[in-house]
Amino acid sequence: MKVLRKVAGLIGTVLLLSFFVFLAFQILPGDSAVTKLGTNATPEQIAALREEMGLNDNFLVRYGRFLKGAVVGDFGTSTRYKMPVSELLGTTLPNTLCLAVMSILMVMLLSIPLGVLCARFENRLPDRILTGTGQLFMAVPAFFMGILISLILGVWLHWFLPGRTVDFGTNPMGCITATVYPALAIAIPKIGMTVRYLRNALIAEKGKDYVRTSRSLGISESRILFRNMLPNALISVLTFLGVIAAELLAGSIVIEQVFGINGIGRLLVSSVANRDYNVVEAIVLYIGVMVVLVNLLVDLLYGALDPRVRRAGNE
Amino acid sequence: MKKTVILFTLILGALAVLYGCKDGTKDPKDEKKGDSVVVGITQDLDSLDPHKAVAAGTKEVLYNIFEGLVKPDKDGNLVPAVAESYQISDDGTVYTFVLRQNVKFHNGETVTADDVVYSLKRCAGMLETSDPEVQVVAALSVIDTIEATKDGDKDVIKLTLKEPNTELIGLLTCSIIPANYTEQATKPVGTGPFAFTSYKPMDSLVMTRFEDYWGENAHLNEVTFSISEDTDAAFLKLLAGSIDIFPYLTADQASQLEGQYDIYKGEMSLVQALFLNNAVQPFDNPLVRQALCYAIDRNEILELLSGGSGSVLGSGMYSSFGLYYAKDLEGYYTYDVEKAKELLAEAGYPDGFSFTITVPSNYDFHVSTAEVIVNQLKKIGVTATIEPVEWATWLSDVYSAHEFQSTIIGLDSQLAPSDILKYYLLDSPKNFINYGNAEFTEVYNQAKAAVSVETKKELYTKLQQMLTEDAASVFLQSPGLMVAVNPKLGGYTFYPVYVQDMASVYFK
Repeated sequence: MKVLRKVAGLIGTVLLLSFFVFLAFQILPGDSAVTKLGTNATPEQIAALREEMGLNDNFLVRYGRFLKGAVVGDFGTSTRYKMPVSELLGTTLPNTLCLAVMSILMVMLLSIPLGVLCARFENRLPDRILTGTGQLFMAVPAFFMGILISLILGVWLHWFLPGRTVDFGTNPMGCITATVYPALAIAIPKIGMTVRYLRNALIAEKGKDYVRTSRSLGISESRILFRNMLPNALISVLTFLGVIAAELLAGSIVIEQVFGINGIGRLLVSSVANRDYNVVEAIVLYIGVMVVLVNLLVDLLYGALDPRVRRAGNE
Repeated sequence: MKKTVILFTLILGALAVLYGCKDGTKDPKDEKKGDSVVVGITQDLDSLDPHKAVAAGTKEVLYNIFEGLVKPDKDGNLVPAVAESYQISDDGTVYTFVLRQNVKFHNGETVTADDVVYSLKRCAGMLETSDPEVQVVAALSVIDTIEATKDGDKDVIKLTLKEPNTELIGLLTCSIIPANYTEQATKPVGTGPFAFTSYKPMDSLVMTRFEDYWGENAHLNEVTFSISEDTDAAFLKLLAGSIDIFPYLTADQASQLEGQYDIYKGEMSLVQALFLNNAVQPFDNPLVRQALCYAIDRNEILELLSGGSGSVLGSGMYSSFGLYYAKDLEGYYTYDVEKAKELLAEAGYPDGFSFTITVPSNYDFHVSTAEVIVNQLKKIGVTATIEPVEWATWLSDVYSAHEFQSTIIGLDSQLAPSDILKYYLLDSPKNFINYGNAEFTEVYNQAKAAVSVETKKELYTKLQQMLTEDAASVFLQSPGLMVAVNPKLGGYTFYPVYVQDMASVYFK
């Protein structure tokens, strides 16, 4: 029952989203025909192309046509690139996913140990250093982090070649190694945030009764930290990680631009600029589905991790 | 404590993995194969079909794949390409082209008279079924008939015009493509020195040397045009050595790359101007427009943004047009703040006024120009506000609907003086600044139809004078073009039109 309700919610959200995007393009000046033809176009030519692209139809008719296609997974052709939208997404989406998964892994693998470290040495040197640098990294805008990494690790140290990109579809292993650096640029500010979040959550746990009781029973500090406090603190961090994951799966527009990655973030920006409606709608739909799915997953994980949530759900 | 050690080990391990992922490259430049070159561009291609391409950034790439009956050379002359020779009748109404024999398309077929007729008709909008995306060259509508005949075993193409026009040759650079080939937009086929290999949206276009080229074969085996998001991203690639040639450096970047790259300086061949909407207040008053012409220091703009190359303009034409170019107009308006203030007072704005400059935000260069102008105008009490808009918005609001006060843009042109001056005609949809001088249109038509070079020169000079005297807009500069070229490469050549010719480039 609960799952059914969630699925209905998902469909509703995505429908609303796609409608508003369609509406937004209705209001924005310029359309695909004008953009395609540029400065030399005659009014007759624009009119003819509009007709061919079906832009002269009523707004609702066009929206209906889009929905009809979307239901069977046909998003039409890109007006800008003259290829099926599915083919465009087929090459760009794996690159974005590869980047997203890589950065989520980095965030999880690095911030959990670092957060524990900070909490363990609360207000002592390791904590001070890590919180300080974390603060600094959080303040750095993504594009600047990207440029710094390209400059230091790429141009000066020659660890990688800025501008060399590999498509996941043609060479998965090559894509994974090439993605490490952009993923790092995405992960570093997020790690700063997650570490801080986890540290504070752990410190809040420290003052709780069960910790005092455990101590009085003579259980070692490390055991209390890892066995009791960490799982509790992680539950609240989970929501935060969920938000990050949703954001990353939607494609990091800035990082994709700085590193020239052929992903959906860049595709989205260029498609909006060119009023390539079909592509924009397809990408927005994907992002919507991703956000809703990640939230659903986080909800389910809550239940799995926290018996209280599970019980409340059953009542 | 043991746990802490494990934690540290984990973190170190993660860093080690990161290091392990390095490419294992020594110096990326050593890795390159001897005969392939990567050229950086900052605009994705808008179409691979040469007749559908609009952006100057696309045409400069496609120049290597396609050719017309004639094509421009580096001195601004039109030299025969697919045609072997041409003749224009004395009265300027009949153009006769003798086709070169055995010119091959990249698909191996020989160019026939049918292909040529088809291509010309497609450009001129004379095909029976027209594709609305094809950019019909309006000036070619003067063509009445296109006939293919034989002279011995040579094919001859004869164009008959409705009225005399000796400039049409500059527009017959229209690419020759195979007749009725339907995949031009995805797998383009032309006759140029390079053949299309592959294109990946937002990423790159690759072309390889065409071995059966009718002329001298290109030196390079393969050229990749690599698409960057903007000049900053391309600059990083340059620093890292992953591109060999990059044509749109800013003045700052050029000075930073000195030593690592050869910096070639040339001109963009564009009319960059602060275009004023002559139909809206306060620019409907010629005195106000003239005041702005005096108040804007074009030399400062040139110095700040063009890094010492480029040249200031006084009217709507640039020096590539050779003898038609009225050079003395460059000095018509001097930089004179006092004079500008006087004119403003006379026009009824003694305390200045405010206006908006609408700039397409994808062109960093125009945005920077606007910033300099905003500062310069403060001195005469005029407050200008920059409104950056997307290109699509610019096209529909500014260019089509004429809803703007002023804008900054660069106009490019074919090698025909009538082409660059087509933006100022009464009742033309291209006249986005609403320039309202009826005499201009009249003289323009005379100039276009004139046959003798002297008359043409006189009339075109007069047209440029009108634009300057009326202060139709504030003509700024033909911006400098700064190109970074890998020092191992030679032969990079500037053209009086906006192209990147890769056929002449070679490894030293």
